[in-house]
Amino acid sequence: MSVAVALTDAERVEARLWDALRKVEDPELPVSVVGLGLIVSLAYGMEGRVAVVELTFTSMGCPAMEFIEEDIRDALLRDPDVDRVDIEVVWDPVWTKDRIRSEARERMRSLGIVA
Amino acid sequence: MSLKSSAVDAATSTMISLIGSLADNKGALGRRYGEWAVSAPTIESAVAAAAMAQDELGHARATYPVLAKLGVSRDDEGLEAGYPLPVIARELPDWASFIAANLVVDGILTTFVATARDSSIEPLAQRARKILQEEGAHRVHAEAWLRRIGRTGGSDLDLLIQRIGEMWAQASRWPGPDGHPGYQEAIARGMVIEGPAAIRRRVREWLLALSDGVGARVALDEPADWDGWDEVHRR
Repeated sequence: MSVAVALTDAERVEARLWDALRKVEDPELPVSVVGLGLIVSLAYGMEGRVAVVELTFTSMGCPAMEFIEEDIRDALLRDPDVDRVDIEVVWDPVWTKDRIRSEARERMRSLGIVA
Repeated sequence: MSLKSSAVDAATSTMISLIGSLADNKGALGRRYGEWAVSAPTIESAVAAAAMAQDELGHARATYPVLAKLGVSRDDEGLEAGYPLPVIARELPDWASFIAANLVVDGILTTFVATARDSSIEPLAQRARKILQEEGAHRVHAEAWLRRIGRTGGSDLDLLIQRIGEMWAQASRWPGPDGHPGYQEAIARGMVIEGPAAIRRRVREWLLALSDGVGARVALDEPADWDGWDEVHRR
């Protein structure tokens, strides 16, 4: 038996934003920033039409930081209900390979990348 | 670079100095490592030098913003700015200096970071955990090269021991004098869990065990003379 759950307007936007983030690829690996476990949290505020992202990176010296932030911002701003994107870089939780999602891990393995 | 801060208590003032100087020295260490990315003795170490440079520059970049959480506004004038230890302020003259910096300077800084893993300054604690994760590979590199040079022995080992001594003379002073009131207050308030003497002792014990393992003797004395020590820039 399936149970239909009514989403609030904000939750509907949030769901769309997660879909948008799943299309943002890491510049160095052919998996999304969601699959790689870089998105720590995502929240949407109806009032300010603002998306708030907590983002981490695989390493503190990641040379692709600015590209990734730009790609995320661009992707989220394409949503008709988003006027502003706030990105906060966080280091807790510490990124490890355990944060890679299973589907991304499979994709990487299929390409010969150990994950 | 300019530092602007309102009057702060002794513990916060000490932490501002430690965090700002940590970032300065990590930035300088990153530049020094990077300079050897095309001239290390082996291709593996050249790659390692590039990777470690990237780590250190990232640590510096991520550490400066902690100062803002302590009420300090610091104008970033790029990674060439700052007040690093003189031994890493200029290009390292030889590979032995690189390994000595990897062992001693990186060792002292990382041991300090370990004392802040559960700091009551939450942004510092968060960064400390990530830095410690990444520094594990630096330690492995330093230890492997000490053993390698130890097996070679002769003038290569003599030079490395000399360089370790030179690095220790400056880096051992970086944590500052034990019993410093601001440091003691910082420990009492959970900003760090151990003070300068404990940091030196941990690094000394590690280095002595490593050097004993290759049959070398290295003098790692406790700094005695604190006259002229700059407690803002920690050198």
